[in-house]
Amino acid sequence: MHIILSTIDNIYNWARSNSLWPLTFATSCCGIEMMSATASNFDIARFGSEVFRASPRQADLLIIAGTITHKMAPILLRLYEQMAEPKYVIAMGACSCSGGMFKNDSYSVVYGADKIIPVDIYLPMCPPKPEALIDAIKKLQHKIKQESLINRDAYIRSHKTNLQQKDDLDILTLKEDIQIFKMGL
Amino acid sequence: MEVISQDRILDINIGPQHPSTHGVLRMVVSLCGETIININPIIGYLHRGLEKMAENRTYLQYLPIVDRIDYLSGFFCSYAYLNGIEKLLNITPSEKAKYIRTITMEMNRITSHLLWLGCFLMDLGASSPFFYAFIEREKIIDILEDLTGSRMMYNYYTLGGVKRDIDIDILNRIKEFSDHFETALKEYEDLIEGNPIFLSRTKNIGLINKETANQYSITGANLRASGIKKDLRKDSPYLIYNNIDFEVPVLNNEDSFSRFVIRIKEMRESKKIILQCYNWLINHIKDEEIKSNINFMHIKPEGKVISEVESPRGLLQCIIHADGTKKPYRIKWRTPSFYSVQLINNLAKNYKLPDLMSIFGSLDVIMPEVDR
Amino acid sequence: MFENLKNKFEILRESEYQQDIHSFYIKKEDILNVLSYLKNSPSYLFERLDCIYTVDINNSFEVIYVLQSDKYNTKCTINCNISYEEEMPSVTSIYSSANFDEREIFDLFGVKFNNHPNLKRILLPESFEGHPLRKSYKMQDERLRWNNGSN
Repeated sequence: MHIILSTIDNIYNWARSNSLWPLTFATSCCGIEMMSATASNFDIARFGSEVFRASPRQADLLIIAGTITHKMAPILLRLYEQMAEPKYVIAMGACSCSGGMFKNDSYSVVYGADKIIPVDIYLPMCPPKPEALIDAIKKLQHKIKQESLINRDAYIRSHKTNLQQKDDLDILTLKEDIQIFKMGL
Repeated sequence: MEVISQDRILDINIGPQHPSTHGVLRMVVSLCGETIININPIIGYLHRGLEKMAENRTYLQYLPIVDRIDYLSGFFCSYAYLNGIEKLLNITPSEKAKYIRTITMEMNRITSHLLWLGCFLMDLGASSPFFYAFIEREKIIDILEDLTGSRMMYNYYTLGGVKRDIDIDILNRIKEFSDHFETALKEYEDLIEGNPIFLSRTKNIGLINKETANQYSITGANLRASGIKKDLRKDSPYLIYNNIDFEVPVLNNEDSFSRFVIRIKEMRESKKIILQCYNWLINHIKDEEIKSNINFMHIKPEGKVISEVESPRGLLQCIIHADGTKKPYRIKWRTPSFYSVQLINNLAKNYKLPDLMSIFGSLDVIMPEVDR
Repeated sequence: MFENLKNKFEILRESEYQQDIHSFYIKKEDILNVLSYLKNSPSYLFERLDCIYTVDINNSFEVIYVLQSDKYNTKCTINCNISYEEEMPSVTSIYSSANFDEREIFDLFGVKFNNHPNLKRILLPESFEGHPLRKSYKMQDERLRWNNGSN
């Protein structure tokens, strides 16, 4: 008779940290490096994250690969809200960490994705190499392994978006969307 | 044409987060059944204000940003920008610098086309060509990384030449790559061109005739697939394209498939150009002059200039208005993808919805170029 | 080469880019006639409009049309000076590619184009305030407040 003894936490965290399914959210340059990471030479599948999902409903990991502009920000928020919990965010590249080289003199770039949604792992560089993305995913896996079911409150608190801001964004998105569909095609 | 009543029309939204829009394009598509009646492309989800940023920065400070305009072919944007400044200041790069610029740009063209190849086939539902294309792409990127220090945002060109000399080791690796590349191209052709699904999804679909192409200012491979022989490298040669023997592939079929064939042929021509540059460079390895002595920090050009380059996607123009101060007065980027996006409504009308992705993919649009 | 054009239309001023690209300043009322003449006349055949762009200079706008003739392998530009409030006629009826170009200029500079099929913002959100490529632009959009503070 073979017996394995472990805590539920350990098994639960082991299972979900090794099968993080990312969302294909590539806005700009970093998206190409994200693609390189999935392709032949780097093969992100070794770490259980090769299943890129096109729908936020099926993804656990949002890799913000690229610049977030003001026009894109409401969509980023909506995608994040549509993802099922538990969900994690990697800000890939200098643009989504802090605005990068567009900081201070661009009128249309959000200076860091964390102004809109909470971020778990920051991955600077412009753009990060695929190895760096794999490293970030490893770090995220490490972080997930530290979590506990008892401390779920802490997770929920740290992954909530700023409510007041969300209202603003919702209003803006709705306005734009209605206009786009009304405008006559 | 049959009149369609309003209640039979369905509007659906595609993007901006969608795997086959190559970034952040959004399309509102009106359908009647599965037939497309109208497409309204909505762009601007990646508008970063690059043209305004030029006005706040000096010429040197703007140089690294230029690569981000087209992340798949950064060398072309740097070249267009620097060539404009060089023309204003009457600087002529040395012969060796010209050859190094050509060889790197052609390698960049191959990486760009390879990525397009992988993504285009991915859009059509075939995932293995993506992996095949990336094997070769990584080889070039490794060489370029060792040469320039970066995988994609090279920032390698400078006033009157390039920042670092090319050494014998890198040249040999380039030679090794281009000798081997023919077999890879053969492999792609064997893998893709005979595939009946691929053929039925691309042949006679998305026709661009000559008038439409000119009306919509289409350039590059998309134009050459419509039977117009127009390539800046031949028509008004820049750098050392005068001394180089290469052909401009032209096809008359006007459809998605011919755009695919043209790009494969272009990669073959690029390989030829690379080998010729290699032969020149290997004999001039001792030449030392690779950049000008003028201090880039303190340049104050004056005048206006239109600087052009044949990028992988077509005609890329950088228009500089300089007023004799340290900062540019106005910089305008004319990017080829901006015009290809407009065409999508014309092309995909009356086709079925699944054809939209095959048509759009064949145009080789990337979004940072459209939005800037 | 441009003698015919000069005889037929009133040229206010001429200037030149580096590498011998001529630019002709004309009155904005003439723009449609000049462009359709240059496009269709067999001695020019400027079949392609490479781009339209605008410069905010001397408290006025300069709208510049870059034309390309494949047959003669030449380029030229047609320029119009207008004040901040003036409107331009749209050239979409002559060159279809002008559609997005004019929308972009409307978006970033606020130049209005008459008879444009669909003149609205293209790059920036519909509710954006101001026209950023004007020299007088100050960052004032309400979205910019997202950049303040931290999470």
